[in-house]
Amino acid sequence: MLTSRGWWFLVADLALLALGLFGGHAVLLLVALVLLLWFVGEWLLFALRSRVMVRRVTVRRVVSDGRTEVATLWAGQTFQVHVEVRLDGAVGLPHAAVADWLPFGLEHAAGSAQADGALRRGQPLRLAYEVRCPAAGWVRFEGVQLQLGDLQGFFFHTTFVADVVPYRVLPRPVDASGHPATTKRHNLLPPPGIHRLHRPGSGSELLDLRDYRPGDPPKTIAWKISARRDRLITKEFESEVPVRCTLFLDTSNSVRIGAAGQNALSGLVEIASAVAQANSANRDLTGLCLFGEETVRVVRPARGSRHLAKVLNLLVDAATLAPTAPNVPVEGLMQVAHPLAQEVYPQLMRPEVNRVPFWLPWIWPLPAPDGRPTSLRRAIYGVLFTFGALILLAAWVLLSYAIIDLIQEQLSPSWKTPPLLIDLSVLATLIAAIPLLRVAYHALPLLGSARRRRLARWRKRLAAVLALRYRLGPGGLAALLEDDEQMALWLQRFLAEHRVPYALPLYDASGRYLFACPGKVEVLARALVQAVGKGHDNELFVLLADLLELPHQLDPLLRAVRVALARHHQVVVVCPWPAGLPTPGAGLGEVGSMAEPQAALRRVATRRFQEAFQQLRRTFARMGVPVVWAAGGEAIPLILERMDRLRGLGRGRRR
Amino acid sequence: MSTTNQPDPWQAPAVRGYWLLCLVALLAVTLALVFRKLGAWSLLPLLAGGLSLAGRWRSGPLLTVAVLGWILYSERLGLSPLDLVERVLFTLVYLFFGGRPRYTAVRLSFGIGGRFLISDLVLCAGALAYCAAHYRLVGLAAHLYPPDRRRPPSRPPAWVRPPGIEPRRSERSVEPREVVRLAALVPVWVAVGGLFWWWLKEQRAPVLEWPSPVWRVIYPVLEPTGPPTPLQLPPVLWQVILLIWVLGLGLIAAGAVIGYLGWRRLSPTEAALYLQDTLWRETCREQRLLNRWLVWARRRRRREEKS
Repeated sequence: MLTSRGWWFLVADLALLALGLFGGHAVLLLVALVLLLWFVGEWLLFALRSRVMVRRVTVRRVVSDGRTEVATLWAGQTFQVHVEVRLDGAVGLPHAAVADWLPFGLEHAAGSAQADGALRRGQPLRLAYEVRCPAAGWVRFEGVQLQLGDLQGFFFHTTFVADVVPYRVLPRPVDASGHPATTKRHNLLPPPGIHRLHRPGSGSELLDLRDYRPGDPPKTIAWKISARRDRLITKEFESEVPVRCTLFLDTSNSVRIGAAGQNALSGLVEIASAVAQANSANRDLTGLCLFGEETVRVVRPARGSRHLAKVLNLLVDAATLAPTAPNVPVEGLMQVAHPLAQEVYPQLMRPEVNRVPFWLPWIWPLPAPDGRPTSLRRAIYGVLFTFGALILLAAWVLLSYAIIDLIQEQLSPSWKTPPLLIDLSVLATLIAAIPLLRVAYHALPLLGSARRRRLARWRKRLAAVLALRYRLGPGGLAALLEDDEQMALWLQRFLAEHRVPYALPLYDASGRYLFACPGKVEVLARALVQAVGKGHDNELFVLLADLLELPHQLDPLLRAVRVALARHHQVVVVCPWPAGLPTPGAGLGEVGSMAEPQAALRRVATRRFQEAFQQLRRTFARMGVPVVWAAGGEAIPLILERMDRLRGLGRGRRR
Repeated sequence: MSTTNQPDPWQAPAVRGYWLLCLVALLAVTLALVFRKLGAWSLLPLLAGGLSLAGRWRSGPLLTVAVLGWILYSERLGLSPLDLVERVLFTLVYLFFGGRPRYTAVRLSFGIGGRFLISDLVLCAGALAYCAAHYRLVGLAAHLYPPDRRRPPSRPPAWVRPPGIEPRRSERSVEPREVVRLAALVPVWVAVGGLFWWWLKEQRAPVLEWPSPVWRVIYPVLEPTGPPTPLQLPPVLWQVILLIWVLGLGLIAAGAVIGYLGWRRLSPTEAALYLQDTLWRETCREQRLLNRWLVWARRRRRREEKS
C-alpha cells in the first residue's frame, strides 16, 4: 500500500520532526508537523477510498462488430470492445488506472486496453480497442484490473473488478467449396434435393422419359409427348435420397495437449466445421459424434440452419476442452494458477480473509510425504537426521541422569529416588521428544528452501479459493491441502475455466506416453458400428482421430470400418499432425547436428511420427480407406470430393 | 520503437501548472528565509529545488527538505550552515575513531520554544506546496505506481500476456483544477499544523492526584488521599508522548473505522471465504489427520489393484 516514495518521505519527515522537537526549533517543528499531518491526511483518505469506495466500481462492456453489439464472435474476424468503468460513490478517486484483462485466445489488434484518470460519479473511464479471434473456442472476459493511487505516488492499491462475460467464437465461415466465405451471396443456395442421387426415384425433378410399362402410375404419364410420339411415355423423376456425412471427432486428451487454438483438437474442429458448413451449403445432412476415452455424444445427421448452429456450438465447446491428468505435479500447475488468482481474484487472496498461518510450512509439510517415492537426497537426509537424532537422544539421556543426580544431592542427599522412577521419567521425556523430532525432521530442510515455503503458502491460498469456488464443503480446503491428485484436478479445472493454457508432463517416470488414450479406439469402433446400423444409404464417415500413438491397438476400429465398407459406406480417416514437425513426405526437416540433444530428439520424434503415419496409412489402405493428415490442407477437399462421389455417381457436383 | 517520436512528459502542457507551482513555492520559501535574515543561504533551498526540477530528480523534495532542515537547524545553533557541516563531520570522526571532540554538534535544548512569524507560515506553505507539486510532476514524468518487477519470460510463450498497467500517469488525466485545489488546500494544512503546534506547545506534564477527577465524578463520596503530586517530566518529553499518543490513537481509531467499513462491505464470497478459513483454522489438526489417512488408504488400494 505504501510505496517506497511514501516510506522515504515519511522517514525524512519523522527525522525532521525529531530534529525540530529535540533541537528546540519552532519553525522546523512546524514544517515537519505540517508535512506529517498532510501525509497522514492523505493516507487516511486513500485508505477510505481503497477499502470502501473501490467496491462501488462497476464495469459495463460492449463487444461489437463495428455496427451492432454481438453475442457471438467469429474466428478470423476483428471486433471492437468498449468498456466503461463507473463509480457510484460520493467520494471520487483522484487517479485510477484501469486495464482490461484481455482473455486468452484473443489477440489485441488495435487501440489501447488501458486508461487512467480521475474516477468520479458521472465521470467514467472508457476503453476502446479491437481484438482479433484467431481460432474457434470460448473466450472469457474476466473484468478490469484497477489500480488506485494518490497523486503524489505515496500509496497504491491494486484490485480487480470482476465482470465475467464468456463469448463463443464460432469457426471461420466457409462456402460450399470449403473455401473461406468472403462475401455473402444471396439466392445462390440450391433448392433441397439438387444433390440427390441421380437415379430414378420419387423426387420432383424430371430425370428422364421412357416408354410406359404396365404398373406405372398414370399420373407419371407425359400426355403431350405421348400424343406426339403416338405411344405412352412415362416421366421418370430423380431420387431425393440425401447424402449423409457423419463426422467422428476425437476429443480425448491426446488431441487436447497444447494451448487452445493451437492444439490438434483445434485443427480437427476447423476441418469438421468447414465440412459441416460446406455440406449445409449443399443442403446435405451432417451428423456429429464427439468421442473420448469413455464418453460419446452423438448428433444424428440433419440439415438446416438450426442444426448447423447446434453442430458448430458443439464443435466450439469441444475446441476449448483442456487436457486433464490426475497424476501430475501440483507445483507446475500452481505456478500458473497462483499468479492468475492473484490477478483475477485479489480480494480472495488477501490475508484478511485467506490467512496462511506462519507455522503451516514448518510443522505440516504439504502434502503429507507418505506414499511418495523417496528420492536419494531425501534418503540421505533421513539417514543423517536419524543418526544426529540418536546422538542427541543419547546425550539427553546422559544429561538427564546427571541433572537428576545433581538435584538429588542438592536437595536431599539422604533420600534416594527409586531407579525405576528415574528411568521412567527419562523415558517419558524421550517419548515427548518424538513429536518435536518429527517437526524438526520436516522443518530443517525448509530452513534453506524458501521455494518450498512459498509453495506451501500458495497451496493454502489456492486451496481455499478452489474449495470455495467449487463448493467442496467444509472439509474441502483440508482435503485439497493433503491430496495431490485432487488438488491437481481442481487446479486444471480452474485453469481450464479461465482458458489459461498450462503444460502437463507427457511421459511418466518410466517413460510411457501418458496421453495415448487407447480406450478411445473401442469407443470409436462402437460409435461407428452404431452409426452404420442407423445409416440409411451410402454415407460418408469421417474419422477425425489421433491414431498415431496406437498402431497396434486398432483392431476394434478396423473391424468397425470393415462393417461400414460392407454396407457400401465410405470412410475417410483424418489424423492430426504434431505442430512444428515436418509433415509426411517432407523428410526429416532441417538437418541439425546430432550432437545437439534437441536436434537429435526432434529428428527421432519426426521419424517416429512419420513411420507411424505410414503404417497407419498402409493399414487402412488395405481396405481402400484414405488416410490424410489434418495440417496439410488436403483433408477438406478430400472429404468434399468423397461427398461428390456419393452424390452424382461420378457426374460431379452441379454448380 | 524510436523514442524521438514520444513527447517529453516534462514538456507537456498539463504539467506546466505544477512547474509553476513548484517555482512559486520555492520563491516563497526563499522569501521566508530572507525574512529570517539568513542572507545568501536563503537561496540554497531555491537552488536545490531548482536543480531537482531541472535535473528531473525523483528525490528532489527530500533533498530540498533536507537542505531546509540543515539551514534552519544551523540557524538555531547560531552557526553558518558550513560550520554545521564541519562540526557534524568532526563529531562523526571522533565517534568512529575515538577521542574527545572539541565541541558537540548537537546542542540539545529540548522543548518547543520560541515563536514563529507569519513568514514562517509562508515557509511551511512553500515547503508543502513544493513537495506535493514536485511529487506530482514525478508521477507524470517517471512513474506514479511502483513498476512491475516481475521478470519477463525468457522465451515468449504462446500465452504471453499483454503489458499491464502503465506505471506513469498520463498527461491526459491531469485536470486543470488539480493545481488550484492543491494551492487552495495548502493554507488549510498549514493552519491545521499551526494549530496543532500551538496546542502542543502549551501542554505540560499533568499533576497527579488520587482519586482522579473522573473517579470523583463517578463516585463523589471518594475523598482525596493526599496532596496532588506533580509529574516530574520535562515539557518536551510530555509533548513527545502526547504527539505519539494523539497521532497513534488517531490513526488507530481511523484505521478501525475504515476497517470496519471495509468488513461491512465484504462481498458474500469474501465473507464465505473468511468463514471457511476460520473453520479450517479451528479444526485443521483433525481434518489433516483424516485426509492423510484417506489419501494413504486410496494409494494403498490402488497399489493392491495394480499388484
